[in-house]
Amino acid sequence: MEAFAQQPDDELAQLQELSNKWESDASGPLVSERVSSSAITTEYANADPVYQAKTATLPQKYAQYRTCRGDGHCGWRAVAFSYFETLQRMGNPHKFLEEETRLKSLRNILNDAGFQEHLYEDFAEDMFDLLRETAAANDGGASLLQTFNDPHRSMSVITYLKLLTSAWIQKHPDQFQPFLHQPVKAYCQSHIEPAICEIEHVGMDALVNVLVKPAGIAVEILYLDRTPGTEVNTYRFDPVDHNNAALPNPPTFRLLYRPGHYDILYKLEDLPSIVPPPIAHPAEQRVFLNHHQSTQALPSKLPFDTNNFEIPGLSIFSGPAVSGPGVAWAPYPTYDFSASPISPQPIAQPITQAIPQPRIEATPAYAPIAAPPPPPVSIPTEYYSTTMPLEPPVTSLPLYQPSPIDRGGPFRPSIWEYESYSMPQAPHPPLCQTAIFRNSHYNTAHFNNPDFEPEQWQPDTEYNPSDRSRKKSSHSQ
Amino acid sequence: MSKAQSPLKRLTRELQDLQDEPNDAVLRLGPVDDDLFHWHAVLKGPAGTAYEGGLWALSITIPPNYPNAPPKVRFETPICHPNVHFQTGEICLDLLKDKWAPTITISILLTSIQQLLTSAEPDSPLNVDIAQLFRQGDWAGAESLIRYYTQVERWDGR
Repeated sequence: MEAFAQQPDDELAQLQELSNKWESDASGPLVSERVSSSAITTEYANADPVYQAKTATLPQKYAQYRTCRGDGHCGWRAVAFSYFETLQRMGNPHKFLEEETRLKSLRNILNDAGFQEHLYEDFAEDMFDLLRETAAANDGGASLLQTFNDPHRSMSVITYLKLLTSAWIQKHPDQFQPFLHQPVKAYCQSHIEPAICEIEHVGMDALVNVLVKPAGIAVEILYLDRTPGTEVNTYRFDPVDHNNAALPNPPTFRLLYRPGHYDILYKLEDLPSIVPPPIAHPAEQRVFLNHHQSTQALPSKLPFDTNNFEIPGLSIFSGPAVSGPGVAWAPYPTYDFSASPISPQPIAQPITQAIPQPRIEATPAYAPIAAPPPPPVSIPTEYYSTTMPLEPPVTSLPLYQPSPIDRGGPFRPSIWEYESYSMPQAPHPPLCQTAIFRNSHYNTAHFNNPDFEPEQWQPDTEYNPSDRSRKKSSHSQ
Repeated sequence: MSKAQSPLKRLTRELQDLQDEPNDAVLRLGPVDDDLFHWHAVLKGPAGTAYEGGLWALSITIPPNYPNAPPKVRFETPICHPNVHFQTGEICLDLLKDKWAPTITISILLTSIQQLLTSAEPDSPLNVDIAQLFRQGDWAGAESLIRYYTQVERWDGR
């Protein structure tokens, strides 16, 4: 202060002018592509030790992030973008329609808050348009990113969300008034509705409550600040059901908050599946092919080699199938495996249904033997009981895999594919050829081998990185 | 795919609303020569104040990203007010700057400008002379100065 007092007036005036003209350096895309979050660590490499420690641990848990331009809308934009992206990740086109209907029904609270419908309907329409476009898009989020980088359209969506947030706060004054130093109406007019105003904690809380939680999506906000500790502080908003109970395993998006700024963080499990869904397409055809072959072949071609038969079950232990990234978030709550007993015909259906979720495996059968990471979804047991009678009477094979086809890599096919392996053009390598299964202690052939040594688990060679982090994160949660 | 909505739709609707519900704060308000991005207004001085009987022309320029950004509003007729620049007509009003919200219409904006006439903020003045009278509490002096300019600089319908 004293230093300033000694400065000549014109110099002060000059400083004041500079200060008045100062604008934050807002450049870069409105929402960026995903980049490795180690960039955050680098950014803070010369910062104070608390930041250094906190950012050093960040990339281990959160592999990637997106920056949002710090133009005063970043918090709104981060939530809006993540909301759309998470809906897309959930992979359920009906969800978009559901959300559109729900948001349209919120018109009442907008009107109650005194917004004129003809003034907000343009913004609302832009919001609904984007919901519909995102539902129809099948481009891995490219068009969504493009839309959010269109200043007009992204501002429209943000404006709609601001109005919704404002209306929500005004609808629940008892919930928010205690946090405000002015009446809710005045607060909303000065801190929520203005075209350029960064989201504050009250606004974030309201926005999550009106937009994100009712959609069944959870939000984690990681606060990167100077509080003591080596990890960022995390605050989590969890969606609840009608009975106010937390939903199990909700899809989650994560925001990194640095005072005054929000970015979007991703765990590896949040990233789009590394195996792109279109791959399932040729596989689907193959399933039917195999099905036909197997239905015809099975009754007569039962005398399989015991070892061959046994191997397929092992596939559940090979990492990618058990914990494929990009599948973990999908609840897939309704798998109706009501295959009618005995007849092999209905089995075709479970097989094709299971394609997008190749991880639904025979875990129950193997659970006593080993402890593979439990898949979040398990098939109702009656599925096994109904299909069991179909199995050949080979005692060493308690189960076969109903959906082993489209796995690629180290996965084993099921007995239903047995035929295809005997065919020269079979795409898979012959059974018992890879080191994993030859050396596996589940291969009873090893019992005859005095030099048998189970292969050591080598995370770097056997599992791809995404699976490792998946496991880690499932422990940490 | 990208349907960059032009502000025209919104402006057309605002104009329509204005015809349905005229604004009492203005004598006239509408686009200049059918250019929806350039409006002209004539503001009325509120009754019972020193501005009573006054008429001021204002020019309103709509930015291409309206309503995400506020229109630029300027007094064309000189007005004696602490928060309006006497020569340039620049207005110091939070709604025209950081408090602008996309739900505000041009009509609402002009109502707010009329309210500004009676709720001056002499601590952030654009017209130092009248603001000084306000700050010294010289209400009689301020009022007579305002009445003088309100009559002398009245918009004369051109």
